[in-house]
Amino acid sequence: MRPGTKPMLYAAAALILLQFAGSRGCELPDLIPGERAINLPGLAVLVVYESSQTLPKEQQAILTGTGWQKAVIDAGGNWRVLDRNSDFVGADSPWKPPIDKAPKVPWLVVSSDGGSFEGDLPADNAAMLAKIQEYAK
Amino acid sequence: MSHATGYIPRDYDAMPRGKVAFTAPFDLQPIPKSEWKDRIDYLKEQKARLSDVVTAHGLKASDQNGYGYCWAHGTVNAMRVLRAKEGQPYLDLSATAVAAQIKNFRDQGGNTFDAIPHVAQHGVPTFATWPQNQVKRDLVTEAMKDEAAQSTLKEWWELEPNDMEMKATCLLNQVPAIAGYSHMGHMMCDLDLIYKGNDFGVLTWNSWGEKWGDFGNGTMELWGRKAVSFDQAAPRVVRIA
Repeated sequence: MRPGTKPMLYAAAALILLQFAGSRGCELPDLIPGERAINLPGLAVLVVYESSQTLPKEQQAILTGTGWQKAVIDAGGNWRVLDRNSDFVGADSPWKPPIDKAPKVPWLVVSSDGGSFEGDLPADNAAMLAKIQEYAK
Repeated sequence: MSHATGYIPRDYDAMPRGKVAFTAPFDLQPIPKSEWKDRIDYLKEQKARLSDVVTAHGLKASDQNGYGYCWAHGTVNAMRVLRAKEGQPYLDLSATAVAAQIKNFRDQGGNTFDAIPHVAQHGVPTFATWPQNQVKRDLVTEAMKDEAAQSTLKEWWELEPNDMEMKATCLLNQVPAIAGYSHMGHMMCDLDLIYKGNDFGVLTWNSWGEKWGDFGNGTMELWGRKAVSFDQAAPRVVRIA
């Protein structure tokens, strides 16, 4: 085996394990920089929720959090807050794959030129805004 | 400014509960009344009420302009609010298109439970193919139908008549409620649950134009028994293009 091959194999294995862990709904670290969780340019934010579920008031307020939504728009981005059973006209909406992938609800997906995040919805609007601002730079 | 109404209460003998197509029983877990004030205060503090959504998105109150189509306006306004909540692009949805087609181009009253099956099956066109307050058969074109089909809403909750707890649960979950008020003969789109002291009420969105309203943009408050609506429904998920 050539020198340096083993470290490369270990790194590849780590990447594969990280992807597998993500698909099983574990707490995920941020994805590899450059990967997009939502197939849109720039900043894109998706909250996936279940409309027949009442959340704690702090998270419920995130669904209509005009503060974080304005921050996304001001950064030139797009956002959606969508029920997990949303009815799509076509199969090519960029919002459909991350909804289908969400392992549970409520779920947050943030996608940007600098990387992506997929994980639990933050505790409240302040934490939501902070998370978005990490990727809005 | 018009003060037309047009709400006809549902005949539950002719149209029994559970028998309106595209409606399902309300399955949101009721929020206990003991939590209402706290949740109302929190949503207000966070600017996360549906009325804040309407303001943030610049939605303007519709105007039924003398037609007895409040029931269609309330239904379509609930769709507009839900679209805004979801972050979907704004569409000038034509309530007149819904009402005119259902009532065979007659100026007649109705109910959201008349509108819901039509909206679910045929959708709602925008002003581009059906201008508001135009009641003309020649507006029924293939282009209009194709456009309307992009804006359907196939899942609706049927709330129990007069059930304020169900409606409050909707509003505290930021789900607009289409509400029929017998004391007004009028159907509107409720946005927020409100309170003063120990009295609860609703902030509702009327269809008498954006210049009308005690609180601007067609909104008004209803309190106590006047906030209880006989026929009530709520939209779940709009179609996403």
